[in-house]
Parts: sequence; structure tokens; C-alpha cells
Amino acid sequence: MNNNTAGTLVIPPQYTFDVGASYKYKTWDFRANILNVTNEENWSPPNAV
Amino acid sequence: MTQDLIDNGNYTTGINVNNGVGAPTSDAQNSVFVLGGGNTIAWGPKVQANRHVRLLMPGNDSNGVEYNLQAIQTLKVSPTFTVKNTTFWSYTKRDTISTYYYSEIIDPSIFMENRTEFIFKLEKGTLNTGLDLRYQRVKAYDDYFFEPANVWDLTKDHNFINVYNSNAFRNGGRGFAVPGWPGRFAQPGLFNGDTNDSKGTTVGPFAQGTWNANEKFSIVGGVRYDYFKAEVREPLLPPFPEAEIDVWLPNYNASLVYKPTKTSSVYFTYNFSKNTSGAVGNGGGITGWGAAGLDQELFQQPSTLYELGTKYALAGNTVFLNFAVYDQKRTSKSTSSTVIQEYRYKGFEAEMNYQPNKHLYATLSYSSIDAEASAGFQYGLFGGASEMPPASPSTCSTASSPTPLTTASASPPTPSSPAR
Repeated sequence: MNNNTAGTLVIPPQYTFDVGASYKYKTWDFRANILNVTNEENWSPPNAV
Repeated sequence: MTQDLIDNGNYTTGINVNNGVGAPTSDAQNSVFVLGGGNTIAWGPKVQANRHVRLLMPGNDSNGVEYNLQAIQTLKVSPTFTVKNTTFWSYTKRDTISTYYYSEIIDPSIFMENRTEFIFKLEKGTLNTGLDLRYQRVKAYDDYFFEPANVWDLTKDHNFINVYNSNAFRNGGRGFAVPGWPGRFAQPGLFNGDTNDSKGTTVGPFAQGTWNANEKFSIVGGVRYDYFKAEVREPLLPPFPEAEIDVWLPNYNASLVYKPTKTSSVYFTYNFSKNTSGAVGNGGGITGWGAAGLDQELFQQPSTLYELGTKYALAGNTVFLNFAVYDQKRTSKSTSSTVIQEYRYKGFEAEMNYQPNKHLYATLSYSSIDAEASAGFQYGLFGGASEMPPASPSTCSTASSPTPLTTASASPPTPSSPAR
């Protein structure tokens, strides 16, 4: 991902792995999610403000 | 930001020497001499970055309250005719201060919506038509033109990450006092495109229908035509100009769906809409100031989308595969700017859902986006070449042109719909 208009500052390919499961019982829906299970230290483009 | 920081975690230390000598022991960041841009920095050694450190002074925070109320009433008039009415009300008040420096105040934003739908079940399809009414009232004050993000040293005492110490920021620098908020400053919306005192009213009739021509072919068509009226007042810059504008905003979509088998489908979707500029960063509201008052073009920014996709159900309806490619072009006002620019997105998405029974599911998804913006974010707003470490690009930090990004996830399936 280019991080500036010149393309000279680049965020390399990176990933996030989330897992989740749900269980439905009658009128109930139980859900659990774990975000970024592998604890990746990812970069994001600069906040515009 | 440097490539070495991204690749290896090496952070370049350094503080400003705008006063020619550097920091006294009483001011670890030399904050008294910090400028809004063009700082001269004495670079120090590179150190391994602590990924948990943020550019904040102790006590910097954001506080907000939001109240939402919603009422949905459904009246089943007959087996083939239902009336549905949805009312939504929202109130937001928020205050954010980061003394490195960024400030935003929303005081307040009030949004109301009432939507009435007449839903008909037809012999070969459905028809949903009705009227959507919206009203939004916003007062917001934002300040980020004195934002010397690169001048602070994350390894030195954070108690001095404070532009309020700076001689150049005395009495807000070139900012204006925010009414009712002592000690807080903001830039006029005429400059930054975010600060606003605005009212927006929308009257939007709409209709969407599905026609199942036979077992294999379906057509989905929708149209919405909004009448939008904006009343905008510049709240900070005398003589506090006021203006009104009204526009018609079309939104059309059409989809063709073909089901070659009972467990697969192919669809093509087209959507065209015109959209109103808003204060993108901060709580909505209307700005849209151009050189000669409210700019009609800023209130009618076009967006076009083409999408082609296919869906499969496999293994006895326990595995679902979705693939889609899309091409979207839209114009929009960039964050923190009064200038509109063009964005182009081309993408591919793939998703696999596994649902062995009604209790359990798992999702694996992949998306790739190739995006271009016609100009960089905030180019030139930050401090310039003198604030970039040696041997790093001399351009400012900008966000554009993301290349393929891989995501893998297992999360609740979203409602399947050909429309984006």
C-alpha cells in the first residue's frame, strides 16, 4: 500500500486474522469474536486529520 | 514516517532547534519554539520504536455522549400489503483535544429521520416504495492547521508535547476562539471545510422492485430522488456569512440476476448517484464553501459503480462461495479540505462461508483493492522537507493508492446483497 503520493513510502502486504463463532439456541444468539488472533503489528495509512 | 520505521521499527529521534540552540532542560521537547510548519530539526539517533507509544500528552482525551432512539412500527394491512414506519433520532456532543495539536468540538449534532415504506408482494416479485425525511443540525469547530506532527520526539517527556507552550500558538495562533469554549480554538469552515454551523433537510421519495421473470432470470431496479436543502453559516470568520442551497440528488440502481442452477447465481449491478459534500472528519454537517459562496458542484458529486458477481451453494447448502469484481468512480471532498477530487476503485472480493448447521458458521474472506486518488491528502499541510529525517522521502505523509491487501477473517456473514 502506497503511503504517499510519490509511492516512495510503502506499507508491505500484511494481514489480520479474526475468528468468531456463534451458537443459536431458541431465541438466543450467542457470539464470540477474537480480533487479530495472531497479534499482528500492522501499519495503517496516516489518519488524514 | 520513514520506510525504515515501517520495515525495521527504527524511529528517528530529534527535536526542533528553531531558536538556534535546542531545548533547555526545563522543556524537553523545546515546545516554546515549535512552529506550525517549517521547523528546523536536529536529528538524533535511531532507536527501536515502542509500538504502544502514542503522540499524546498525559491528559489529552476525547469525551463524547451520544443518544439514539429508534421506533419501528409495522402494519400488515393484508397478506400482500405491509406498511412500515421507522423513526430515528440521534444526539451527539463530543470534544477532542490532542495538544500535539488537533482539536475538534461537536456541540452538538442532532439528526432525525422518518421513513415510511409501502411494501407490496406481487405475483412475480415485490415492490417497496415510500418517503424518507431527514433533518440534521450541526455545530462543529475543528482545528488542525497548526499541526506539527513530525516535530515531537516520542522518546522524550510527553508532558511537553503541547503547542499551548509555543510562542507561535499564543492565543491560538491563527485560529479563532470557539464560542462557549474558553481556551479552545478552531479554523473557519471557509478554510478547512470541516467547521460548520449547518442545517440540512432531505425529502426523498424512493421505489425498489424485484421482478422474477422466470425461475432463472430476475431484475432488480431502484430509484431514489432526494430534494436536499442546506442552510450554512460560517461560525468563526466575520462577517459570519450565511448561505442556502438546494439540489436534487438522483440515485439509480439496477441488477440482473441469472440462476443457471438452483444452487448458483450470477449478477450484474449498476448504480449511479449524486451525493452531498459533508464535513467528513467530524460528526457530519454541511460545509461546501467554494470561492464564491456555496459551490453547487460540492453538493452534487457523482458516483458510479459496476459490479459483477457470482454465488454458489455447495455441499448440501453448508458451504457458500461468493466472488465479485467491481469498478467504482466517485468524486468527493477529501478530509480536511475544501477541494473535491476524484477517486477510482477497482476490486476483487472472495468469501467462503461454512455453516454446517444452524448453530455454527465460519467465514474466510479475501479482498483486493486498487485505488487511486487524483491528489494526495493534505499535500503541503504538514511541515515540509525540513521536518523529514535524512535519507527519507521529502514528500509529506499522504494516503492513496492502496495495493492489494489480504484479509482473512471468520466473522458473522453479512446479508447477501448484490448492491454495495
